[in-house]
Amino acid sequence: MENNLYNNDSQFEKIVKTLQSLPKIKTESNFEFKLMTRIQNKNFVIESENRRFNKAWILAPSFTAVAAAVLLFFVFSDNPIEFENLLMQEPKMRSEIVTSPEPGVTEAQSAKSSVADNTPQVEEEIAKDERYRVVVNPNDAVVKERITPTFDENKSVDLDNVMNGRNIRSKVSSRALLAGGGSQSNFNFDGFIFRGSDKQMEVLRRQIDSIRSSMQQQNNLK
Amino acid sequence: MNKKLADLTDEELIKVFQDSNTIEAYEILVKRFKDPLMNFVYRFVGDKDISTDIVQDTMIKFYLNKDSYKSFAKFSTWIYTIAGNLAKNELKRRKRRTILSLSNDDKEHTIQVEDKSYYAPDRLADGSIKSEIIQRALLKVKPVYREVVILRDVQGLSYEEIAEITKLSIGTVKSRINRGRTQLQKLLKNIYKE
Repeated sequence: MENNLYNNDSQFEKIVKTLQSLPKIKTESNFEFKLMTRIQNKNFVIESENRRFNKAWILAPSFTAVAAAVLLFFVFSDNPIEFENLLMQEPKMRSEIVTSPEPGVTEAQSAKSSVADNTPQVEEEIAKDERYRVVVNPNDAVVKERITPTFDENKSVDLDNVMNGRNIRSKVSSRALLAGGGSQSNFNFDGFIFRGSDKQMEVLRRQIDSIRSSMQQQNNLK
Repeated sequence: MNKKLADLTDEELIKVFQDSNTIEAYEILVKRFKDPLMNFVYRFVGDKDISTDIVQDTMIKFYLNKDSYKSFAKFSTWIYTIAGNLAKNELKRRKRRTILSLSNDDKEHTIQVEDKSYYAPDRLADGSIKSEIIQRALLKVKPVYREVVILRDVQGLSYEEIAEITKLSIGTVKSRINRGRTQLQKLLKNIYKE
């Protein structure tokens, strides 16, 4: 039954004739010469199987992608817009707000940058309980002077430093003290550290005295 | 001596080659089978250079493994089996390489090989174009069907020989030939409308 079904070649008469009429493909004229040379040279490497184990083609897409990436990199690297890599930048020194969190580390280094000025540069060095003043003279001579604190460190604020933002990190408690807030119930105010000439001090004292006397007169009038 | 060898059958020649390692016997067999094998492999693979390599390799394998041939089989079926296996390996290798391609294994695959409007009838009259279209259609037929169709209709082998080459039963061979022809007919239907 099966044989009868599949023996019916008349159904495919045209296709069979077409296939039979296909031109016969022949080997090259030097086929036998090549074959015999291979045999004489004992070159028995099976070309078609050898090709099968050649895996270099697997890497072809990867090579193409890498080559394209390199080309694109060089093409677009001539872009005039230069982007600054923030991670590669030197951190900017903000000497006016950065203070050493650890006692004993000098701030005098920051003063060296401004040595070019002819005005004397005064910086303070805090070492444990001692306070030093570094004076850079116009002739580049650096002098270190010891300062004897006139006020209790815990109950006073260096107003200049606070106003200039120098003691932001190291003297947070002092700022609270200045504001009169925080957890301290007793607000003991001893005074300000004031840097200036004696004449300025004298002028200010007079102004303060005149203000006080005028306030007293006002109170008396009341 | 050479004339005598040339008169021998394929099986007698390989016997001579096996027994006395006579290179002339080998050469005569190569001469007899190089073109039929080339035709078969080319129709199956579709590339002349690769087909040449495969036929060369077939002959090398025949030279190296002459002793594995047993006299009860026909020499032609034995050498066709070697060539067919190499050609199938080539197709497998090519399939692995072709990542993005239409699958030929799809049974519902009914893509037209050529558009009728593309090949005008006067151009179809040109035999070379027609045979090119048929070759392309052949390559779109599933390989298991293609092999038997080529062996039967192009090479003109008997069902028994094809069964021996493919190690299939005669019924399976006939069934596959029928399926292959049907696929081919669908692919070439525009040609047969003419």
